[in-house]
Amino acid sequence: MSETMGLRVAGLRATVENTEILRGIDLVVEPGKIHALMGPNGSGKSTLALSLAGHPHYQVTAGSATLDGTSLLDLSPEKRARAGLFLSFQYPAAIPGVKVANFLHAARQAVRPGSLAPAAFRAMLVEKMDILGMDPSFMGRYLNDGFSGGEKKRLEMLQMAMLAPKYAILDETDSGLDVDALRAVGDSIAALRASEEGRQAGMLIITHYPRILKHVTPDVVHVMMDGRIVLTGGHDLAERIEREGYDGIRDEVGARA
Amino acid sequence: MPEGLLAPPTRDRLHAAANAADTRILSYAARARALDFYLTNPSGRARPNRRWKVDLDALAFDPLASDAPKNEVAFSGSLGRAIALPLATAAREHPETLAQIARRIDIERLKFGALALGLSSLGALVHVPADYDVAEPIVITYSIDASPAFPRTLVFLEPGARATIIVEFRNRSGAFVAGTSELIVDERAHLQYATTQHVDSGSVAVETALAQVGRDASIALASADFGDGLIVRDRESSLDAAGARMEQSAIFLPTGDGHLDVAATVRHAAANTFSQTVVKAAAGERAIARFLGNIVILPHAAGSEASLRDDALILGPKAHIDSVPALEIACNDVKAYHGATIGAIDDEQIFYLRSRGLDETEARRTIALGFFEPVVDAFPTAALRESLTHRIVETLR
Ligand SMILES: Nc1ncnc2c1ncn2[C@@H]1O[C@H](COP(=O)(O)OP(=O)(O)OP(=O)(O)O)[C@@H](O)[C@H]1O
Ligand SMILES: [Mg+2]
Repeated sequence: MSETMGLRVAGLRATVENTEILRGIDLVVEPGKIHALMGPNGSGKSTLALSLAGHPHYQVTAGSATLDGTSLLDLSPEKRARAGLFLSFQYPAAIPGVKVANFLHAARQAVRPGSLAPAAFRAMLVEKMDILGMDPSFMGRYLNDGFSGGEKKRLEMLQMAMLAPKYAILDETDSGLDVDALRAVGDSIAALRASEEGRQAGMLIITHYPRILKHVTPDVVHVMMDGRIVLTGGHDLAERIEREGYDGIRDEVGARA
Repeated sequence: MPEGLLAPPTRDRLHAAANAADTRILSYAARARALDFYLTNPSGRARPNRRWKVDLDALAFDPLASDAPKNEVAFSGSLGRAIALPLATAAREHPETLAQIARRIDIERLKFGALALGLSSLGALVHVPADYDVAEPIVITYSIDASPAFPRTLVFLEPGARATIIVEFRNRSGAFVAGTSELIVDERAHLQYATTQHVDSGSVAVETALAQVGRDASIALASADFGDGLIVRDRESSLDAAGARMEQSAIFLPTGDGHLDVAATVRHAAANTFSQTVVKAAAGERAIARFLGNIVILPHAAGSEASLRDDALILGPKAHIDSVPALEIACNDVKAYHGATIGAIDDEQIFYLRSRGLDETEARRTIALGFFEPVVDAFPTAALRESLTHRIVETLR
């Protein structure tokens, strides 16, 4: 595999409202790999996700981020999406009056222009909604408007399935999901990775709970604290956090520093 | 039909009418009021941050007096047993119907209504006989070339009748148009009435609308106003008998230096009446939109329900939207609801759409279109909804 492939973040520093939140992030998500990112509340996980997606409130002050060799940081948010980056929002915005089906079509056209005839698009939509256990009536509803927390997260996953990104960042997509929804999300991710478009998709799954990782087995688990990735390990790291909390890791890291 | 109602007025005739003491002429009061209005309104163009003013002094009255008026009204749609005629023809052929409407709708108690009543030589009458359902929408198109123009649209639905009416305006640039909508919906009848108007810079469009809704009858009003001219709307619906219903939906989208001033009043004058008002106002650039939503529930209107919802979207840094709700409720046993929002397009919404590949312009357009969507949905035909969407997109470009 080429040295440039992957979602590669190096020395990334970012501030929000003049406060430095990310203090040097190094992370490489290779094509087709699943990484989990864990860490206590306020450690900067969402800041990393939003900085990579190009949220205008977040200022990147140092470092680099590339997607299969393309530098993301100079690109507008829409160009990052078109380059193949997808963010499943921790708090998706509601847009009243914009129908889910119309929006998905516009987004698909923007990200993968001309790639699907309308009938094929419909068929794909029906199939993906079925995997996610979403009622077809959602197509006619307004984007996230009046959606329950779990419904919003399912819609984020539907968007990911329809856009088939090269790299996806899932920011607490599992939070607030019931067990069935959790399994459906797992199935949806598996279906994407089994599809032609999504075979090489790399994922960064931000989560507080190992339970999602039972449905989507991560290749690598990272722990973030105070704007840095302090520990990287395998699947067992998630279980250790579940058992011990972050204090043990904090002490260990503190001792090393 | 009173003599002189449709006769072409002149400045001299106006003055003469004002001085005349002959109260047998029905239009006397109207003309007097029109004149009064004309005399007491100093000239001055519509200006942001100021209450609108109309320069009647600058109006040419000659076109009104000309033998071959260039203003036209046209109808389309298959009528069946309904009647749709230019007002002048209706005055000759159906004077009794016009007189009946005049007895029931007091348009001249409103200032611009009086002006229109006094000066109109253009208009339309739609009359639907009892229990007749006009299956197809009736489209009334006014082509306004000569200014000023005072098009009056009179609609009379007899008991149990049903009709959809769409009123469209093709106004020449710079025209002054002060029209009326005078609507009677008798018991059990249903009227859907939609108007759209684009008012360009330097133009003035005024509408005075009065609707009277009978027992178990319903009216659905939908209107869309665009442009950078001066738009004035004074609308009042009276729910006069038990079970009367009215729904009104309005799109206001002034742009440039446009100024829109709308007052919409709903009167609940009988038991178990229902009204729903939904307004979506967006203002671009330096435009001003001012909306006064007035709900009046009279003491004997027990069991009634009224809702007023207005949402305002500021699209330009110098745009301004004023929304003033007024609920006068004189009855305990009613439900009244008012909700309002005002704001600019939210950054988080824009970012969300951009993160899905839409560029910033598309994102803004999508959000603004979504803002209007529920009201666009209230318009009667797919073609009209499409053309409205198109117009909104064009306006936001
Ligand atoms: N827009 C903002 N304005 C001010 N502070 C912010 C803003 N966004 C993030 N922060 C701060 O940055 C820090 C990191 O926040 P972030 O949302 O990235 O944490 P997180 O790791 O995602 O936490 P959680 O697990 O609770 O989602 C927090 O202290 C937060 O208050
Ligand atoms: Mg977070």
